[in-house]
Amino acid sequence: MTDTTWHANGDLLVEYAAGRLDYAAQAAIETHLTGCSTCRSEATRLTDRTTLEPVWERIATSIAAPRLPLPLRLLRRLGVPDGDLVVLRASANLLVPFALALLGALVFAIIGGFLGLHEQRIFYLTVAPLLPVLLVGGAYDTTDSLRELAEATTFSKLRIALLRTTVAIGFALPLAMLMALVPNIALTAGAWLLPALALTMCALTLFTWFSPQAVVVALSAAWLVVVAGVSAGGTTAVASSPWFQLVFLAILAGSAAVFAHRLRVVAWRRAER
Amino acid sequence: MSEVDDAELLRQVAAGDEAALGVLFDRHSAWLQMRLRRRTSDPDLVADVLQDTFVAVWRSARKYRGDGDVGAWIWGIAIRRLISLLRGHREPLPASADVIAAASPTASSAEDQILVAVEHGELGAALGRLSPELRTIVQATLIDGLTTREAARLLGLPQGTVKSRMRAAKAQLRGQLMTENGSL
Amino acid sequence: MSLIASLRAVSKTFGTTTALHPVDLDLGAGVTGLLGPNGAGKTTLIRLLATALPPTTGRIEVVGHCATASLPERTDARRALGYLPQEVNFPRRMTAFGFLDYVAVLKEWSKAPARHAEVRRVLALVDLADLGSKRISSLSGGQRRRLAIAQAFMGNPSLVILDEPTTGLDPEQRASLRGLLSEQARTSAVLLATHQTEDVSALCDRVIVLDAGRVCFDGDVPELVATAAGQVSVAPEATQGALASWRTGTGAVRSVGGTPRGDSQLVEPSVEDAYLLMRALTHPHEGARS
Repeated sequence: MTDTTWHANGDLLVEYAAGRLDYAAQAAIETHLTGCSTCRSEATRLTDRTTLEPVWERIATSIAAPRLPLPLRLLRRLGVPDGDLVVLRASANLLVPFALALLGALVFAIIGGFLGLHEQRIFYLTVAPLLPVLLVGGAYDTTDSLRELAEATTFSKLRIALLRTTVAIGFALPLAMLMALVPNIALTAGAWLLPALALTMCALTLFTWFSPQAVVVALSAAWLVVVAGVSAGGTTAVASSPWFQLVFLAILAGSAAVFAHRLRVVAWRRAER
Repeated sequence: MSEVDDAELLRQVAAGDEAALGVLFDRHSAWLQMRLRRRTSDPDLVADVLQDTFVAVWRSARKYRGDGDVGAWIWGIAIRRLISLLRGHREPLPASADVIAAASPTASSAEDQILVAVEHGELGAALGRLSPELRTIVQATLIDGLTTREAARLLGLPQGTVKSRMRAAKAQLRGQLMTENGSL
Repeated sequence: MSLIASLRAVSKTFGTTTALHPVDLDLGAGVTGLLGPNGAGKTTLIRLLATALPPTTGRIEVVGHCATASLPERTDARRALGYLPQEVNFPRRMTAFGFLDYVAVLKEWSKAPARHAEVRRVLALVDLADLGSKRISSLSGGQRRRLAIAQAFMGNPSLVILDEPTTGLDPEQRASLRGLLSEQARTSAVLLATHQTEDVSALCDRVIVLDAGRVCFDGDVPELVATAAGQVSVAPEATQGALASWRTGTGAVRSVGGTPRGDSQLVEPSVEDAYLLMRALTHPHEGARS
């Protein structure tokens, strides 16, 4: 298409770059440049690299920096700090506990269909509050493939664990509510919420002292005892009674206070760099 | 250039080769910057357009169909991004990049001849004699490579007006060419 | 030498096994090699210094912060160090840039622009500038090793600790690693653990020889070599009772240790020779090898 005998010499390009050419000459050069590599390299020779290098750095960063998946982008919109999102994105191994939880909910729904009314309620009362605890325990201690390396870094390990567990809770609660759609559970459905929250808060607080596995086992055992006691009379009505709920509200408030104190002790704050 | 040609570099970019994109940047960023500066006086905007353009090249290198010069294709992306940013659209890049890359028009042969004449400065006086409205159309369509529809949007004119002015401008310019060369 | 890190009477016991007997160590700017066979306690010492492991006894200080005192002090110490463990299990499906971005967040680079600039800087440092967008699973072994080294240099740490960094590197890459380390060592203390004497001769100014949890030698590389003076010779045949001997390219046999023969010629010992002799001193019952 182009006849390459005519080229824009250095002076002409300088004039063009400075905007001193008339319209026709400018149009001529522009049309020429799109097709002529010789003149393009002349333009490169005449250009000061200091304006272009930072542009290249930004380009290289844009194409290499991984994009956040949609759920994390939503969190960013909600104001969650960028560093926390990077930690969450790196915790892809949370998918396994989530998948297991989903599977568990499905199994529950199927089993629940076969039980009698009373058994259904006991089953639900036992499982629903423990679901967040189990998820939180799993998320707190997910095997970090980079653990060895992460040991020597300064980002609060507690913060990492809490980020993961918060996401786990956010997933577990709606799931437990879904489980309540199984017929006949309705009366018990509301009763589990406070115990669930209280148990989870206890778990988080105890994580700052003991190993996740021990805490999950201990809390599960304790809750099973409670449910056994509640349903001993042949009905689960006790679980819906106000004083039962108040007890758990108190446990929730108490452990939240202890947890807040532990956060301060265990170096929660991080430095800005 | 004597080594790898631009089309081959684009193929490598499509295969995920960052170094190839770097070479394309080294070859084209300078003249693109010069040309963009003739369209806007804001240097930060020019830097943003350059950045977005090459990110778009990275993401849509596959879409280059091997027709026409790579420089023209990249300019097509750049000018559209500039217009988009001037309008205040800070769209996320992926969607517009694909649209941009796919929309690069190929010149028809009649326009080729005019372009060649423009390039050689033969139409210098003739272009200068065009009325401002016709000249803007020529700038937008023949020189910057926008489609009729895009030029219409840019200039705020109905597409029909753009088309008729283009016909008038080409007729005038061709007429000049014929009087100057005797035949076409 | 201004002190960057120090160990005072630091030891580590796992149950009934003593991995490291009480050791005193001072580290200043420069490249120090930690040489010893597998099981000598190198990795334990490395992990103690990297604060990845608490010591059983003793005191570890990094840039004036006592890592063994309290968590805040340990956090301050960690801010000054970069650590490359022996094995890095990269998360699958991460890109090179994404990996460094994550490690940078762990090192408290909370603002994205500064963090991304630092990631770009260390990628260029290890010659991976064009591979940021590549999945780690599609990188070669040497490239992954360089990526792992890159994260240790983020933030320009005063103490850089590398456990077997040259695994998987070819000679050219080892040479450019040498350039990287000596550049960093102008202002930082670089400690690298290795069981290969070539690394020590190629990369280190100073060497500490570790064996069975104890320090056998701590000094400059020339000093180590000097301990083998007069004990390495070349002759048509091996010497009597040589620790190690092999036929060289010229056809003569180089012997380390043993009684020199009549036709033996003494030669300059290498780091490896000195190391072999030193090990023989601590393990006399292992006998001669060929």
